[in-house]
Amino acid sequence: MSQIIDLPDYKEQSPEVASYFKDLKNRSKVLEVNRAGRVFASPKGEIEALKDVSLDVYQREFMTVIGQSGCGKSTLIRILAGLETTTSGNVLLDGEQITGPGSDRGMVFQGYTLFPWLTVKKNVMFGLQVSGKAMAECEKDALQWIDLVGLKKFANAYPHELSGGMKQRVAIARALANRPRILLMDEPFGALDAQTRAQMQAYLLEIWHHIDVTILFITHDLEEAVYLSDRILVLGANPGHVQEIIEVPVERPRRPEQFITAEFLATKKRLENLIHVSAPEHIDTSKMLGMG
Amino acid sequence: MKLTQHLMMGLAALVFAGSASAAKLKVAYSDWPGWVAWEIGIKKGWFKEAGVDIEFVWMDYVASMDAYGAGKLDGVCMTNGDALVTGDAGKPSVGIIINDYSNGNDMLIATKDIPNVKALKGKKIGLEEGFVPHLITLKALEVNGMSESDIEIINTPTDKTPQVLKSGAVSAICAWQPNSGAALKEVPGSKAIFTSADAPGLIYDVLFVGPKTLKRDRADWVKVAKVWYKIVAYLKDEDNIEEALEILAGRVKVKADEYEPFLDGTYILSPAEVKEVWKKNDGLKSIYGSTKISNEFNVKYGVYKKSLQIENYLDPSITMDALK
Amino acid sequence: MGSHQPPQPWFRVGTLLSEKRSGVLMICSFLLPILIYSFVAYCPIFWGHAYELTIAARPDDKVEFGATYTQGFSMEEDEFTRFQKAIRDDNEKLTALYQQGDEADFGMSPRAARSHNKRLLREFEPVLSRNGLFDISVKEEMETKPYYQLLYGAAYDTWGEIATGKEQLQKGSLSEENREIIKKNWALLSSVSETYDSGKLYSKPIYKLIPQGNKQVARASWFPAPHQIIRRGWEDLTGKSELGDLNVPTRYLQSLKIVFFGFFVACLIGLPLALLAGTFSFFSRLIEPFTDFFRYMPAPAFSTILVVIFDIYDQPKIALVVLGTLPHLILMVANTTRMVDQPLLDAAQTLGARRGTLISKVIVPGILPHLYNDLRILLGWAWTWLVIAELIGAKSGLTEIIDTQGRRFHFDHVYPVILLIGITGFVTDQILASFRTVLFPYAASEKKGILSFAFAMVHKLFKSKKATS
Repeated sequence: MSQIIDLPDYKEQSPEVASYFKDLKNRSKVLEVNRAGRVFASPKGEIEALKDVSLDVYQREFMTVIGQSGCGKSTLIRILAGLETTTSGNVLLDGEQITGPGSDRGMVFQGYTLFPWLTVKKNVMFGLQVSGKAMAECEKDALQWIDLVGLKKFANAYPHELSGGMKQRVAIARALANRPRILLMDEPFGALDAQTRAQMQAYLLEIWHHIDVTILFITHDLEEAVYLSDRILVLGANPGHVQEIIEVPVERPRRPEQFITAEFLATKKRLENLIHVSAPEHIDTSKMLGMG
Repeated sequence: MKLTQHLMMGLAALVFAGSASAAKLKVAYSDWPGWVAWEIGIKKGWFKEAGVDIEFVWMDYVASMDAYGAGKLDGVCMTNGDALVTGDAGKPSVGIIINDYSNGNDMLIATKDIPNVKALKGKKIGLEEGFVPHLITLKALEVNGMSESDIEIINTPTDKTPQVLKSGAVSAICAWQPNSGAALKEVPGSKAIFTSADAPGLIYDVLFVGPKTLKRDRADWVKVAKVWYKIVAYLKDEDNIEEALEILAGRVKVKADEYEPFLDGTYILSPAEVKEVWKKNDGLKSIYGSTKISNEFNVKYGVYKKSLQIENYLDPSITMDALK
Repeated sequence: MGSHQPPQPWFRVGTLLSEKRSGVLMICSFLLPILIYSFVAYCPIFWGHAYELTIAARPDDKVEFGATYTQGFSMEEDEFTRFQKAIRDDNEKLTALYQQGDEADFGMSPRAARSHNKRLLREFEPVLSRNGLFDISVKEEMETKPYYQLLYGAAYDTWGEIATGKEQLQKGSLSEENREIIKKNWALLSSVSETYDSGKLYSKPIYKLIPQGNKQVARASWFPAPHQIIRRGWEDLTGKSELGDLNVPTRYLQSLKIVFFGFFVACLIGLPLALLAGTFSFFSRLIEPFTDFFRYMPAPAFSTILVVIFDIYDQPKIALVVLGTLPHLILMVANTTRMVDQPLLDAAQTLGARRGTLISKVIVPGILPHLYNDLRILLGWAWTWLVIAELIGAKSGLTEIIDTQGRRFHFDHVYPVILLIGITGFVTDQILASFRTVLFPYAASEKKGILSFAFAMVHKLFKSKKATS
C-alpha cells in the first residue's frame, strides 16, 4: 500500500529561506511592471491578451512565470524584451521606461535562434560587435563566455553541427556576453529531451550562481519552475492576469535530491491546483490568436 | 559605396564601349541583292580609301526603316515607294543613289494549284502590308483587271513568307530574293505568277538619307556615291563574277552559285543608265515617274491618305556630282 | 551484406530511389527524347524518298523552276524526274540551235555564254572533290580569283580526260548520259583551247549536265538527322561552314554578353529595391503593386521604344533582358526577403541590432542561400529573353544564325545553335547549383543535379581505385 504523506503549507518558510527572501526584497528593483495590459486587434474584434499585470523583479533574482498555454506568457516576455508594446500600463528597467528592444535585456528563445551562417564564436561576438567594441576584445570576451558554457572545443563549429542542448548553451552565452541587466528566457529548454533538460537546468543554476545576473524564466514545466526559481508568478488566462506570486520555500543551493522534499512537493501541488482549477471548460481557440 | 560606384562605372563603360559606333555616318542595308552589293565596297575597304567615315549596319529591311524612323540612322536603303510610306509616318528622307530597279526578284509566288494571278480570286496571300510586296501584288491584280477586294491579305513579315507558304495557310505569298527563292525551293511545285520583271521600273532601290545630314555632310555623300559607281564598275566586269558572288553570298549566307540568279533579277544601273533614270519624266523609266505612280498607288489603296510632294524625296545632284 | 534482402520496388509512393537508380533514370531522361528523335529521323516508314543532288543544274524555264538548286539539296522523286527532263529539253533545244548553223540565235551574248560555261565548269566541283581531283580546302588560303582559275582548270582538264577516255572516275559519280554530254562539250571547248584560259573560252553555250542524285530517305527540312546536326554543329563551331566570318564562337560571346549584362543590370537595380520592399512594409506597398502590374506587360512590345532610346546595337537588347527579368526579380527577391526567420530578427534585436545592422548582418546573410537560388532561376529567365532581344535593332549573336538560317530552311544550322543555348543555360545552372553546397554548407541541400551526380560518381570511382591500390 502506498502511503500518502501530509504536505506542509507551501507558505511556511524555514528561517534560512525567510531571511533569504527578506534580503532579496531589500535589493534594488531591476524590473518593474505596472498594470501592464495588451489588447490585440483582430478581424473579430479586440482580444485582450494581458490585463493589469504587475510584478517586480529584484536584483539577481530568479523569477519564473508559469501558466497554461495561451495565457499570455510569451506576450509578457516579448513586452519585457521590447519586441512587443503594451497598450496600457508601463514597464520600467532600473526605474526607466523601456521603449524597444535593447542589449540591456538579453533573451533566449524556445526555438533555435543562432545565426546559421556564423560560427559559435561569431554568434557570441554578434552583440559585442554591434555595440562597437574592438574586434580583438570581442573575440576575447566571446571565448570566455563560450568557455563558461563548456563549448571551448566548438568555438569554430557552425550551429548545424551542434546538438539542441549545445545550441541553447551558445544562445545563453550570446545573450550573457552583452552583460544584460536581466536575462529573459522563453521556455528555453522546451524543445529538449528530458535528460538534456535536466543537465541544462543544472548548467543554468551554475551560471546564475557565478554571474551577477537577474533571470526571468518562462516555462510550463512545474518541476522546472520550482527547481529553478526564487519566486514563481502564476499567470491566469483569458485575459492573462497575475493569479499569485509564490515564494519558493526550497533552500538554496538547489540540488536534484530536493525534488522529493516536502516543501518542493507542497509548492508543486499548489501550482498544480492553481493551474488545474483555472483551466477552462473548453478552449476557445479563436481567442488565443496572437497569444502564445 | 566606393565599390558600387566603381562597378557602375565599369558597367557603363563596358556596355557602351562594346556596342556604340564611332563612325560619323551610319547607314542600314538589308538583304535585297542591289543593296547587298554595298558589301563589295565594305569588304574591299573602298570607303576608307575614299576618306569617308561611314558604317554600314546589316539589318532586316523593316527593322532598318524602323531604326531610321527612330532617328538612329543617317541613311537607309529603301525602295522609292517605301520611302514615301516612311516619310508619311513622320520621317522624310531624300534618295541620293539609285542602286537598281527590281527586274524579277520581287515575286508573287503561288502554290501548285494556282496557275495564274486570276486564279487568286478569293484566296489568301501572305505579304507585308504597306511595303513593296503589297505594291507588287496590287500591280499584279491591276494588270489582271482585279483589285485588292478580290483577295484576302494576311500580313506576314517578308522573311517569314517561305514558312507561311509552306504551312499551306495561304495560296500565295509576295516576297523578294532571297526570301522568294527560299519559298520556291521549299514548296515543291510553287512558282512565280507575277514578278517585278513584268513591271520593270515600278520599284527602284535607292539609298535614302536624312535631309539634315544631306546638307551637313554633302561632301561625304558624294564620296559614297563615287564608291557606289566603283562597285557598279566592278560588278559589270565579267572577270570579277566569282569573287563578287562569294562576297555577296557570304553576306546573306547562301551558296555562291545560288546567288547568281539574284543578280539577274536586280538590274544594277550603269552611270549612263542612271542619268536617264534621274531625268524628270512620266512613266517607269524615270524614278520621278515611278515614284509618282507609287504615290498614286499608296493614296488609292489607303496606305496613306494625302498625296506627297515627291520632288522632296529625290535629289539627283549627289549622283551627278559623283559622276562628273 | 544484404544478399538475402528482397529487391526494392521501383515504384513506391513517397520513397526515394537509391542513388544508383536515380542516376540511371537521370540518364534515361536525356536518352529517351534523343532515342525517339533518332528513331523518327532514321526510320524510313515516316518519310518518302528523295534525291540528294550530286550534280545540280539550272533549267532555262525560270517559271517552272524559279529556285536555284545546288548540290546537296534534297528533291522529291517526281520533282527530280521533272527537273531532269527540263535539262534534257534544254539540251535538245541547244542541239537544234547548233544544227541551224551560224544563223542560230542562242539568246545570249558571247559574254553571257562564257559565264554560262564557266558556271557549268563550277558546278562540276562536287564531282571533282568527291573523286579527289580537287581540294576545296585550298580556298581558305587563296584569293578568290586564283582559286577559281584553279577550279576551272581542274574541271576543264578532267572533261578533256573524260572525253578522251583517260580519266576513270569512281563508279556512279557520273552517268553514261553525262559522259556523252561531256564528250560533246569537250568537242566544243577544245575547238578553241585544249587548256583552260579565261581569255579563250568557247563563247557559245555548251550542254548542261543532267542532274544526278543519291536516292535516300527524304526527311523534312525541319527534321534533320542527328548525325547531320552533329556534323553541321561541329562545322559551325569550328568555323568551317558557309556561315563565314562571324562564326558561332564569336556570336556565342555576343549572346553571352547580352544575357549576363542584362541579368547583371537587373540585379543592380532590382536587388536593392527588392531588399527594401522585403524589409519595410512601406517600400513593399510602394514598389510591389506596380511591379506586379508591370510584369504582365509583354517586354518585347517595348522593343521599338527601346530602339528609340538605346540605339540599335547591344543596349536595347540588354535593356529588353532587363525589362523582362527585373519585375520578376523584384517580386521574387522581396518575397524571399520576407521569408527571413522572424526569431532571428527578434534575437538580433535583443542583442542590440538596429535597422542598418539588421539588414546588413541578419537579413542579407539570412536570405543569401535562398537569394542564390532565386538568382539562378532568374538567370534562366534572362536566357529565355535572349532570342527576342537579339532581334531588336541590328540582329546579332546566335539569334542571327537561328533567324537567317531558319528562314532559308537550313535547320541543320539552327538546331545546333538552339542546343548550344540550352546546354549553356543548363550547365551554368548546374554549376551554380553545385557551388551552392560549397558556399552555404549550412543551408538545406536540394535534389541532386546531373553535374553533382557526375561529381559524386567520379569521386566514388576515385575512392574505389584508391581502395584497391
